[in-house]
Amino acid sequence: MNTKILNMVMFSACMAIGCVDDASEPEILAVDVADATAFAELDASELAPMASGVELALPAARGVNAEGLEAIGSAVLGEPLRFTVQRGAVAVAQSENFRAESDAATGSFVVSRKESVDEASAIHDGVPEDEISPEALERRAMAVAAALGIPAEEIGVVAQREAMQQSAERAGPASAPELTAHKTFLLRSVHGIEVQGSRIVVTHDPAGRLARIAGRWPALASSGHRLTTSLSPERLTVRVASQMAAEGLAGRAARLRYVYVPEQAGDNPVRLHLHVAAVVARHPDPAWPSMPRELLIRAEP
Amino acid sequence: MRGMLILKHALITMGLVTPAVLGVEARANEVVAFGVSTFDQCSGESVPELLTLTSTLRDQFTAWQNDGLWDKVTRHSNASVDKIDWADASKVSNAADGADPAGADHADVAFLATHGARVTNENGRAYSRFVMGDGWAGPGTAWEDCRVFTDRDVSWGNTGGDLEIVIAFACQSVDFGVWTSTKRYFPMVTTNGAFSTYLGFHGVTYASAANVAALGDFLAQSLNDGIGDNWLDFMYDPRNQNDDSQCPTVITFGASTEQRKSMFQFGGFSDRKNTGLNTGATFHYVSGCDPAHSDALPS
Repeated sequence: MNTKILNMVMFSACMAIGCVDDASEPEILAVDVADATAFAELDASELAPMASGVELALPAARGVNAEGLEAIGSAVLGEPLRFTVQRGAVAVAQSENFRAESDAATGSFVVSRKESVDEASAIHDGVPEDEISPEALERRAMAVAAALGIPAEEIGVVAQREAMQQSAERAGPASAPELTAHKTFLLRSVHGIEVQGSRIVVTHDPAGRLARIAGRWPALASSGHRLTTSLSPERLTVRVASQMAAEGLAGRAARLRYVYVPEQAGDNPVRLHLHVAAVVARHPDPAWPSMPRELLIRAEP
Repeated sequence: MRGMLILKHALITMGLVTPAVLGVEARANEVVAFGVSTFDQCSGESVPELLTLTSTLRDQFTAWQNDGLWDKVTRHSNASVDKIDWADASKVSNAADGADPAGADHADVAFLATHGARVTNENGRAYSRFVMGDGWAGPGTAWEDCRVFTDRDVSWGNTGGDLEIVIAFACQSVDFGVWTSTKRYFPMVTTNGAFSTYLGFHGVTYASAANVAALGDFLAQSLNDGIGDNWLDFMYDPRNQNDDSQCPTVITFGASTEQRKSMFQFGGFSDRKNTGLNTGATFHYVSGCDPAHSDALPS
């Protein structure tokens, strides 16, 4: 038995793992901090210490909603987009060649070329070959984001990918992989830390014409965020180990990183709360049904 | 035929005609969700998020039901998730996947959140398998009763069944390793069956709050349009892009590449395209996606 419930002060936790910490509040921990095996497999190399006592600034940021999508109609689609139908939580828009849905309940949206539009016909002519390079597609996706009012500094990871397909008849060989679309994934970040679940995906067809814009990009409040923590990486690691023990995952390998979790009350803009995301590896026995889990541990003192 | 039924149902739903005018009984849109988070009767690690996923799905379809856009929502959890609910009587004695409301094949759309794995044997057999929440004391061994195999157990949307769309939120549920085997995923559908769209993952997926939110986004946008593209857009996670990415994958079944692509691009839960006879299939994926516990997808 390498875990047990201990009611202890954080100071002794830090003593046990050799860290120095200024916290003194008692905390219920579900891990024996003297048990090195609880920490041996935790990779906290991505948890950089944060400046203590410094609250990062974050200006209010516009989100992408029906109003924002209407604004891009002319600039990005080349035709006006008007939301005229409400179906439950979803606002629906139609333009000559595109349709759009914006869901107020989840904040998600999709703008996509209509089925009735023949892919081979010219909404816009196909673009020159050099506009379909990965670099050009990324630049064009960033331009769509800019047209939506998204500042470049809010875009973190950019992943430019090809969507492919392969077909087969029953008992027949598979066809060669076929390019179906270019997809550019723009993942949101604030101060270099990922904002969970916030992304925009810009899809161009193989000829380079804009086919879809999908994602979720909520507006951020002007205040009330919890963007930093005074807790040291060592103390956060103890907290993660405790949570893992409580979940029956003690001793499992895990990789830790910071993430901002959007929290929303009613229809208000979201507030970001700093968490440690611990990606816990699946059970080491491959025969035991298991899957990797991502635990979220609040980083606030 | 399927497209005609859907058109008639849409006309009825919009109030433009009555079932009597069309001379048909209105066909209900039905979804059934299965989730297993505790595996008390079968082997497996407890994962709370797997039930949260089914709650997310139930809540979205219930919202549509309240708005008059959907007809029936059913959810089964843990010990109520049984092999007989997913297996077909043509393959497993006493199986009842068409039972209403317990069976997956009674509904048009089915969702399963549980542990999954891909197996490829030296004899050429390849399949994905899913862990159930209940060990059913019926034919076969207890080990098999806790697991459903895509090749030997299921026949989705076959005669007497309604199933057209399955979302398998499980590791290696739509795995390229099975797709490249001799029989691919064809054993789970009949040529003249209704089934058209199978969504899942190549390699492992993650139990996370992020995936619960992403599923909510995918569902919210997939009632009418873009079900395949939406799955890739909202579920792909590059992470470190090296042996840890989350790779959403889709197989569409149907008579032609164009019909299958139409369902992928423009189909939805309530706009289920007529893809014709299931004589062929198309595997849709994100190029080069490199997950844990499966090879990287081809570029």
